[in-house]
Amino acid sequence: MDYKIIWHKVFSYQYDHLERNSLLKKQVDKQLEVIQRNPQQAGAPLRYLPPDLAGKIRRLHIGGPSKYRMFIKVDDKEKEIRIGFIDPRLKGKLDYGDLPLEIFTQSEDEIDEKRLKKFLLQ
Amino acid sequence: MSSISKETFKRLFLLYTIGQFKDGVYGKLRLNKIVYLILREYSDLIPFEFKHDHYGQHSEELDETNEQLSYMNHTTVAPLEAGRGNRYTLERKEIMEFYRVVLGYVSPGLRKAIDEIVEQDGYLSEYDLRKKAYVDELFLKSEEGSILLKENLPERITVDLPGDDCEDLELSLDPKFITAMRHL
Repeated sequence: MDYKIIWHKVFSYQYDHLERNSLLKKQVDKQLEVIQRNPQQAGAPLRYLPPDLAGKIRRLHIGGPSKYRMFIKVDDKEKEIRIGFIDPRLKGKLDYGDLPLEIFTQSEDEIDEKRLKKFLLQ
Repeated sequence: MSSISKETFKRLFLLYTIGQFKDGVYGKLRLNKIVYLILREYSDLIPFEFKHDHYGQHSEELDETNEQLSYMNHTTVAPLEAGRGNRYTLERKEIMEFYRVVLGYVSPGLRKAIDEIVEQDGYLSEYDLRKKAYVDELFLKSEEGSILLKENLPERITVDLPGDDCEDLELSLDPKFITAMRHL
């Protein structure tokens, strides 16, 4: 499957700050391998989305189903996968107020580190 | 046992109500009056504050939630042929069954009230609908500017569904998440 894989700046920042040889980094690398090998098998598509996003957004578990969630966007038509971010909040602790998701509406050149730091994995 | 936020519940409630109309909701006024009548019928859970204002029973928060739903593309907004106002329709009707199940878990009484009021009053002429809303006792006793119904939802609402179902529902109805994913 020849999909072009593009990392968003948020994910790049998260990845660059993962501890070398840590279990978490190994788990992220494993999921990146799955994405590369077979994007349709990577995680599961989010359900109940509006029509323009339905089937495109997939959630992958990092560190098992009770830990972190990683979100990617798969565009089969364009043969493109965008790696969005790993939600730094542990699963089950959803609180939409605190994570600056508006970062994704900015051009990547304009994103400042203060906001990126909010995505660092603990 | 999982839970959803009250904001998610508000959006779910409104989507389900809009989806119950066979051909969409004709106008914001109709949506406001129907939701008000639903909440007068079943008042244990009140998702929106309603005031007595220039338009009669009206909820600004309901209007905002309605705008969020169309912004997220969960609903389609089309101008009415008559030229006044819009028609709101659900984009993905196939999800209605899931919304129905979730609402049933949270409050079978509220779901029943939605089904009955939409069926009974949803298709009245605007004149008859206003007439019906304006004879409401609570409204008649109130003055312009006063609060008719106060929102009373807890911060989190327990739903007897697997965690992933609740999470998918929350994410799919979260404007911040949807906007982020659209721009990704």
